[in-house]
Amino acid sequence: MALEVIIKREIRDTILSKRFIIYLVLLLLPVVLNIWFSWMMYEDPSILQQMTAMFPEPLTEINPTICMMSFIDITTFPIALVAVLHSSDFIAGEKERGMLTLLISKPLHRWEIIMGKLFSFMVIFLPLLTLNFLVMVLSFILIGIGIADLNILIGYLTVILFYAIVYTSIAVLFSVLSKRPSMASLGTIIFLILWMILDFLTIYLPKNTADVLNNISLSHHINIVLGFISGGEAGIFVKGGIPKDPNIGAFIYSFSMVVLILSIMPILLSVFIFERKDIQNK
Amino acid sequence: MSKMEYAIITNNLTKKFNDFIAVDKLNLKVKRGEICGIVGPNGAGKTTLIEMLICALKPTSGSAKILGKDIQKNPLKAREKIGYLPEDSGFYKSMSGFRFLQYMAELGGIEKSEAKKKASTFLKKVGLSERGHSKIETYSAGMKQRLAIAQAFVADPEVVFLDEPTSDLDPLAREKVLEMISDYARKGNTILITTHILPITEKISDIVVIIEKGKIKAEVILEEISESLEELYKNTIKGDWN
Repeated sequence: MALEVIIKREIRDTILSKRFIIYLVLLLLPVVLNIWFSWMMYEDPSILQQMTAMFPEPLTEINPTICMMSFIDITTFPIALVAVLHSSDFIAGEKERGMLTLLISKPLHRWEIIMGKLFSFMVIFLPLLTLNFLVMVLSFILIGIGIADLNILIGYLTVILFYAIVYTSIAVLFSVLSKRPSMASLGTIIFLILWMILDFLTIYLPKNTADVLNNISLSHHINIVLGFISGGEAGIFVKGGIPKDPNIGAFIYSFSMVVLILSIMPILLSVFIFERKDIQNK
Repeated sequence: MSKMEYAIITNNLTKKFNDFIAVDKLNLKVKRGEICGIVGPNGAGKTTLIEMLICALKPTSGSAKILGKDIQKNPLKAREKIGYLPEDSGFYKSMSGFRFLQYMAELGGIEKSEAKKKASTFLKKVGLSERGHSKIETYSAGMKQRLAIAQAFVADPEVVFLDEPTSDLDPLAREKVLEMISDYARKGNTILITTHILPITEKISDIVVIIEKGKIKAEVILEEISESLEELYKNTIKGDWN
């Protein structure tokens, strides 16, 4: 019952909060930018040629897949920002407000506080991202770029949702470890920047070293998942485009890494730490 | 007297923060329906004691039971019937006082419709009926403190922990709150209250426990002592100033 009460309050208060407007703007901005950018590429294909110059075969003609590929690149930052801003507040924010000991004194499990907040955020955040994605897809049709195959659309939507879930999970862990939400946000942002740098490094490092580092690269795993779901038709720019021959084994490994290690494990770790932590008021 | 007649029992309860001993082998027994005042200088361990009893802090050693439920073995059951007012309580400032109380009641296990009734009742009891639907961020410090006190009682707890409940209250509000606390105890509920203000403790408590450096220095039934609490306190507490 406590879990339900927390979820209802969190959903209501998030939607009615001023910062929800900021989240909406942050999430809508890449959609608008990408529609504009896709239209530019549609009008002037030389932009596309320059953009894909690093590909083995640079693209000369605009298509919906390449538009979504560029969308993934520009949307990950706002997704990370919204996930970090909101999730950093989960526990550190309650502590800063002086609410944490009050909540803990109630007959509820500590994990219910984390899961209630996490679930309510996902209930708002994931449909919002899905809606944004659908708006963008619809815009491509209206511009005249057309629509990608369903498996490619599902692949890109999965990628967006995975990015959101992973970033949120990591921010929750930092929130449990920090005394203030600002500290949690900063910690998560530094971690994510280092992680993104690692992603870029793997492109330029020798293959053997890159293969080792790719095991902990979010973009690498996401690219494999996307490649497999789309039947080898889609990829993300940061990893140099569509992965070659994404097989079922690689897919299962990368999917497990994203879901189990990068999404569920930070949450379980957060709960484990929070359940054992001494909590003092402020 | 059977053990269940005690609402709070601590047995060698100890809390250490690294080398600092905040609560040192504390043995306390508070009967049901009693108001127990805990007094002591700053840093005596009053708040740490309460934070252990509400299961926010894990004891380093020793044990405690609330209404017969062990706070370590059965923390969820131990918290089922407690209310808590922290010193310097927090709020969701964009919520109204009414919604805050309703939320706290629901988290305490009260059904939504009943929680709404309780929220209205307690807003009235602390004199906030007229401002009940205003956002908490518009409340004065005294109003916030009254709201915080109301939330400690709103879920019908049988044991209430109040950490400095009268801070920020004007004399009239203080009188009303003390009256509310006494009335609540008269219904058979147990109150454990910490305060620096000795006349308040003297006025409403049945028993007073004086602690210093985490240890009980004196435990008295107020009806049975001949001297004033202030005299007793001065004679008991050595402190760094003496």
